[in-house]
Amino acid sequence: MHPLDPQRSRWLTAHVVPLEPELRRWLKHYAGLSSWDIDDLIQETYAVLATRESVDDIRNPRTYIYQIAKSLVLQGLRRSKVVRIEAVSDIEKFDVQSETLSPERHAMGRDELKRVADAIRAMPPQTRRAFTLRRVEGLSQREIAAAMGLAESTVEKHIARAIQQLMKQFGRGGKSARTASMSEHAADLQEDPAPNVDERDRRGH
Amino acid sequence: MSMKETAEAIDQEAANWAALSDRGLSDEERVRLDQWLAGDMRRIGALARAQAIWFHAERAGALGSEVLEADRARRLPVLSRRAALIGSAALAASLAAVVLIPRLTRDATPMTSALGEIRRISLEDGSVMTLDADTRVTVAYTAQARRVTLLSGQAYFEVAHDKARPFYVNARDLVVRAVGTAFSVRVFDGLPVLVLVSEGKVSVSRLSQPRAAAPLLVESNYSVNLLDADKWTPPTPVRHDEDEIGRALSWREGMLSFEGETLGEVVSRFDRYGRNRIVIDDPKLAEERITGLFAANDPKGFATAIAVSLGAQVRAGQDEIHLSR
Repeated sequence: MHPLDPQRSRWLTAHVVPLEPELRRWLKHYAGLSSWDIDDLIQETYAVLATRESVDDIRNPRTYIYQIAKSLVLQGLRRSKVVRIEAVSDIEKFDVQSETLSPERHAMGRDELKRVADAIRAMPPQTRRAFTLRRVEGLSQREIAAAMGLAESTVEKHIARAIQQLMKQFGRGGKSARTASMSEHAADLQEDPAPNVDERDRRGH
Repeated sequence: MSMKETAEAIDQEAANWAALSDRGLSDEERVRLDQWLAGDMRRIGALARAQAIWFHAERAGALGSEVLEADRARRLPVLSRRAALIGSAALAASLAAVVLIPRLTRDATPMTSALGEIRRISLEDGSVMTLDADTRVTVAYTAQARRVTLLSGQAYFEVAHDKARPFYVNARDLVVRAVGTAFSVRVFDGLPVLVLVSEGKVSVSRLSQPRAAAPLLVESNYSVNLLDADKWTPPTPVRHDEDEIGRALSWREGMLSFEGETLGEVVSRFDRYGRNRIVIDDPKLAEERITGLFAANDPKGFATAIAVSLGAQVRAGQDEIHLSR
């Protein structure tokens, strides 16, 4: 399956995109991954789902998506030279169902809409205009170029920027934004011999 | 270990490819894309994610104009010029209304939907009107005509057949006339009026146009963007395939919103959408209060989420999903 297959994209839109913030929180708090490892793992999870032959047989997408993420975490741990026994057992003990109990699940629809709104607010005016014309009004990129008096290649760049902004917004695990300066700081960190639960970093092995 | 490309760099490239794909890839670009994808599994995932998130952003339509058009300062001069034009069109509209349907203003019932809320409203003649989020309409039924005025937002109409009483939707200075059909009309601030027909056909005319002028016919599976009167040349409707129509109207199935309704009531809202009916086998369970926003087209996902939250059990049958405790 090609990653641009529209039907598969619709499935990912319906089942994975809404779950992503919650999945990221889980990867941070229960699997103890660093923020960059989480970004890698999210990409890998999408890759597994995008290249799967069919998704029709997935009866419970939520459980299945967690299973994939979990097995990717375990693979990563097995590949790394130092295996954190406590991390593995944490994951094995963790029951995906219990996460479903959290009340935040109910607020998810609103949270998703808020993420889209935040992404739109963060767009420069021209980009936001192009975004609105494309996604809300349904004009083609060519029609947008005509309507805004821009070159088609410029519209393309605005659309790319809009997509990037949306991806960033959905890449933020918790309610509070992960700022650029924080992730830069994390990038400078060396492996901590006695990491605390939230800042375990497997990178560099 | 060799230097690994960062997830962020991959995301950026994936966003560029998703934008190219959104306008259509050339053969040469396809080859280049496949080469890029072959380099790292994470790129495949990033691209799939980029496109899924891009599709997801269609929901932005539920946000309302204050988010979408936040660059008001820049747009203000344009808006005020348009407001003046609409003003004169509205005057023509009110004159026409007085002649044609004198009771219009007396009987108009306002109906609105809130931000993020989709409302499905059954009208007295059996027609059904679906209001997208943040939409305002007024409904006026008389013995001669059924008339809905779409003040702002978007609505989908499934019109009950009644030759004696034509069904009109007024949007700005446009009048969309239907007999028995299904279509949507959209009035978003700063954008042309969009009319999209999914069944039957409608005719579109302007209140200000000369009586002799022929109305514009829009048939099933066509849509048309209608610019403001000052730019009016009869536009050509654009044809869509079924998938595109379905997607254009997918807001209707977008989300169901509940604020403390009982599970019994909530389940009956789902009944209008899904093929799988939810049946509550426990009367006490049916009294539980539900708050939240749910995908209207996924009753099973809803039932599962509810079951876990309320400590109930789900049993999926052939066409029914049973909830019990």
